[in-house]
Amino acid sequence: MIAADDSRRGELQAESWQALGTTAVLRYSGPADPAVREAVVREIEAIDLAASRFRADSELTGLNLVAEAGGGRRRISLLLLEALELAMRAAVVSEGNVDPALGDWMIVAGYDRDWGELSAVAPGAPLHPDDRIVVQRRRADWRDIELTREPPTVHMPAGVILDLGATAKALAADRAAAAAHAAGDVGVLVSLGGDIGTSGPAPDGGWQIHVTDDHRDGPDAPGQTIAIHSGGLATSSLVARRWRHDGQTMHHILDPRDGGPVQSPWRTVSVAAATCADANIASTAAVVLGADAPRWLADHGLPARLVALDGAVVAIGDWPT
Amino acid sequence: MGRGTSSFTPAGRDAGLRRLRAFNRLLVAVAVAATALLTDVVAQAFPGHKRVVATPPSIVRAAAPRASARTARRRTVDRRHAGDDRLRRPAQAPTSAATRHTHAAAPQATAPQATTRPATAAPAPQPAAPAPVVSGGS
Repeated sequence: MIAADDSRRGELQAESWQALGTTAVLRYSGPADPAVREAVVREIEAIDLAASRFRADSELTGLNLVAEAGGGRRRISLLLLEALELAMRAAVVSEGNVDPALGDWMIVAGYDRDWGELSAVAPGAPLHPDDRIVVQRRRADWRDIELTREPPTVHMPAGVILDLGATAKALAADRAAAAAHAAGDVGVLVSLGGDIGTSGPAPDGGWQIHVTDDHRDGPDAPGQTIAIHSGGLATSSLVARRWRHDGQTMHHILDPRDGGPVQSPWRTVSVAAATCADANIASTAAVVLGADAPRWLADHGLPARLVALDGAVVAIGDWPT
Repeated sequence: MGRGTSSFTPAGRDAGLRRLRAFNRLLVAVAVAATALLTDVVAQAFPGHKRVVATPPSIVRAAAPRASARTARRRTVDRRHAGDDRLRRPAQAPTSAATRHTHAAAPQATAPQATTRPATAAPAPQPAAPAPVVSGGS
C-alpha cells in the first residue's frame, strides 16, 4: 500500500510508504513522474520475493528449507544470486563480522517473524550482559555455501539458515535508485529504513541526510544533518529494532561469535560509501568490531560517524564535523 | 688408458669437482626459476573457477572455537564472492548540510549579498527544501 506524499517542494519530489517491514522514502528531482515511483516499487518487491526470510513464497525461504532438510544444490534467480554474492562479499570483507548465516540464531533470539509483529522494546532500554542467549553450535557456516553463476546455483550446507537482512535491504536501495534514475532520467534517492542509495545527479547542496539513532525518530531527533552527493549511506544502531524474548531484551545485530546480541561500545554507526551496500556492510561491521571499528573504517578510507553508548561522537576520515 | 693416467693430478681433479659443483648449483637455480615462471604463466593462462577462501582472521577465530575447528575443512567458494575485498569510498565525501528545511525552527541567516541588493530586486522567496531524509537504525 502506497501513501504518496504529493506535496511538491521546489524541484524535489518526496514520497514515502511502508515496505520490507520498514519505511521506504523516495526523493527525486524534477516534476512528479509515476514511472520513477513504479520503478522503485518494482525493485523492492523483487528483492522481497527473492530474499525475504519472512515470506513463505520467497526463494530464500526455499533455500532455508533445503538447508533444514539436510542441504543440497538449487537453481536460483539472478537477483537472489546477486544478493547472495553481496552477502558473501560482506562476510569476506568484514572478516566474518557481517555474517549472512545467522538465520538460525535470529530465530532462536525470537526474530522469527516480520518486524511489525515483534513487540518493540522501549527505546533506551539498557543492554545487559545477561541478555546473551545460549544456542547450539552450528555444524556449518557461510564458508560452506557454494555459489555458481552459470547456471545460477547455490549449494546450501545442512543447517545453514540464511538471513540477508543486513545486506539485502541495502542492495534494494541501490537497485531501486538506479532503476528509478533510469526510468525518469532524474536524480534519485531511495531510503529503506535509513539505508540510503542514490543515483543520478544530486540536487544543489546534495541530498540532505539527518543521521540519528533511530530512523523513525524523524529529522528533529538528536543527531547531525549532512549532505551526500553520490553513493550511499547507512546507519546501524543497537537502539532500533529491539524486542523482548523470553524475558530478555534483544536487538537485531547478533555477534557471529556466539549468536548473542552484540555488545558494542558504539550504539550507532553511520557510514558513507560508494554504494548503500558498502555503507551497510561497513556500519554493521563497525558495530560488531567494537573498539577496533575506528581503525578498520579508517583503513577502508570510509567517512563515518560513531556514537558511543554515552553519546560521545567520533568522526572518521572525511566525515564533516 | 696409459695416456689418461699419466695426465691425472690431484689439483686437476679438485678443479674439475669445483666446476661440477658450480654447474650443479647453476642447474638447480635455473630449474627453480623456470618452475616458478612456468607456474605463473600457467596460472594466468588457465584461471581456475574456484579457490579456497582464507579463514577470517583473529577477530572471529580468536573468540570462536568453532572457527578454529573449521579450518581443517574449508570449502571452496566462487572467487567472485571475494574478488572485491575492499569497500569503496564515496566519490565525494559527505559535507555539512547548508540548506534550510521545512522542519527547522531557527530563522535562516541573511545572506551577505542580500543586503546589497535594492529592495525592488529582492529575490523571490526560495521554496524550502523538504526535510532531510533520516538515516538511523532500522
